[in-house]
Amino acid sequence: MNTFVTFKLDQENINELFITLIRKYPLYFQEPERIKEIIYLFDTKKSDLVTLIIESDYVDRQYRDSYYSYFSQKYSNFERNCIRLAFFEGEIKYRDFMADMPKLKKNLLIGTIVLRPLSVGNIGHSLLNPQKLKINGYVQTCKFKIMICGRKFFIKAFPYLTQDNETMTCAETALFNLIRYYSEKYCEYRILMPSEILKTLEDSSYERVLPSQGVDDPCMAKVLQAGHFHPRLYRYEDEGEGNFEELFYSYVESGIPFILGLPQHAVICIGHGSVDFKMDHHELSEIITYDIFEDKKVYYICTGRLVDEYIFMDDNQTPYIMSTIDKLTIRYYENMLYEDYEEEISGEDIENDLGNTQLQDQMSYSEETIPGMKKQFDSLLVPLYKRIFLDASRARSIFDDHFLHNPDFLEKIREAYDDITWGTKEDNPFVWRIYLTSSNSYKDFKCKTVSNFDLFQYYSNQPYPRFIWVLEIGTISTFSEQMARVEVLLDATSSTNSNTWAILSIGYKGHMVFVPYIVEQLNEKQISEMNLCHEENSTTQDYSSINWEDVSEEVKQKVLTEIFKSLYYKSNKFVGDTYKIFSASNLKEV
Amino acid sequence: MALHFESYSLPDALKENTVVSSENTAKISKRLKKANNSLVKKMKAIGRKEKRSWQKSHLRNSKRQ
Repeated sequence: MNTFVTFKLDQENINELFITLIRKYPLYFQEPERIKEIIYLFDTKKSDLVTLIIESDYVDRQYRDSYYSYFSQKYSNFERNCIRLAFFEGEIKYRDFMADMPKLKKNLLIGTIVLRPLSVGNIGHSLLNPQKLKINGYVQTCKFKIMICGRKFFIKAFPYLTQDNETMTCAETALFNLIRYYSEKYCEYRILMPSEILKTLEDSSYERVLPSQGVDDPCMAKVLQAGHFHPRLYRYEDEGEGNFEELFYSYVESGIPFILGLPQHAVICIGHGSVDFKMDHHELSEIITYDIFEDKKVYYICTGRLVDEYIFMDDNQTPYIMSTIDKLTIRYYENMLYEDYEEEISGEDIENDLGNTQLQDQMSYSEETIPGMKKQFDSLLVPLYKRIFLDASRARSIFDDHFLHNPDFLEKIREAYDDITWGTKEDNPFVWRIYLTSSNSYKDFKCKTVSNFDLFQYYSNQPYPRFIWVLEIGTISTFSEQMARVEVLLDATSSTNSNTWAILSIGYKGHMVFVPYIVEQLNEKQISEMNLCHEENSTTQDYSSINWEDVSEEVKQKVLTEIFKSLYYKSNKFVGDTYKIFSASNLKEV
Repeated sequence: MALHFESYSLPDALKENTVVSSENTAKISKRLKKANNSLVKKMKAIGRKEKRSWQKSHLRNSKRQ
């Protein structure tokens, strides 16, 4: 049965609505404040009215799975069905769903929220369009099909769910939502239902998994493996302050949602806030870093420093929450301390004794204490695709040693642009960003934005590996116009044993190399040289006489030198001054 | 009507060979050797870090709930 109600998006109207709803559906509105918080997030531009459609007896596949694997086995009665709330912008009538639906074709759907008959974890599987919420930034979403009043609708959202604390804690919830996202977006993955997640955990656990007591990092990775991912774990303790943040940013920028481990908690990071490319609210001195080469300072800015906040799916907060790693770490560290404190003085009235707010007021953290907390608890669990062999930390090292920290390379690019202060003066640093992308998206974007036919020919003809790491280097002024100067590509399917350190291509004004070509030419050159040495009088090449090990060793030694020689000394006039920075990743602006 | 085939490949400029003085080649080679050595060490360190991360996570057993 569908019930329609239209309400105004103000506190008074919402309160009135909820009084009626709680009376009518007491079993399903057990956490009204949390539902209200989500409604207050709505950002309806077309109208201040919102239509709510309540669908009773809704079968939610996630809850039905938890119900049969857990709730049905209890003595107390639990309902099998849920109710689902669907929100539309403006006033919608039942008849609007008939025939061609001209009114509903205007993208009015805000989203859906499933309400489970539970007192903890009342909010079930929810899909909310971030474009219709009060958030700014870039998020990863995928397209979901939903049925409302017998009609098909499509919504771009990231799945959200709260933990019921019995079958699913934060870790299982994060895993479920993450795998749900990937399964909907890519055909390589399939959804893992809560019972399947618990089964995988059971296989690798020595204790019972129901009621859930939480999941540690290795077990979370095990579940991701079961979902056909190849996860990579980065612990703050091992990576250190700057490195951890940069790894975090490069995966967000690559459009890969991943799990951030916090003190006794886990959340999914799905995007970042606005990037201050124009440097409107960032002081240069606060974000700039430098390195010293041959007694000279070289200045850098990673574009990650221009991002203030990230967007998370935290099952304890509203969906698409904007926050920072530090803020979340402090929040859950305090929660943990409070729980410990609660345990210590159990039996006493905590609120009267000290009070939650008072306990929190006592805590203020200095710059030095926050890294200490992060060191103890924070980690990144990144569900990589099976063919991404080169991870962010390895790609970063290659970019560093051969490009960003290579004085010869830096000198050559300065010369090419006739910009002698680039990187040498504090007000003109090297601005760089790295990210991983599929070569298909990259080539498509390049072919769409290239300035001349030669470049189009290059990007459209060239076979690339399935995934590539990209380094873009520019200046503050080029990045403020969404442009960069230097482009370096690494083959993400390569290994670190490769002769070329996975370098695929390098390009800047008037210069470009495509590495497989250099390797091919070098191989041919070596073979003919060796053949000539062996049989000077022979008119035909005899391949059986070639010592292939020698060839390979020669190539290994020469290949990198050849790449950079070709890059520096061969001019390719068709490569222009600047190019448009890549913006066709999974991250979409909201 | 006669069929007309047209094929496109990489810009020729990318395929050309280049002649560079041995002095410049030696300079590039020297710098790359340094970078290579540093990278080999870094890669080994990353590999060790990766192993350590998993080992410590197993040992720590801190559950996320």
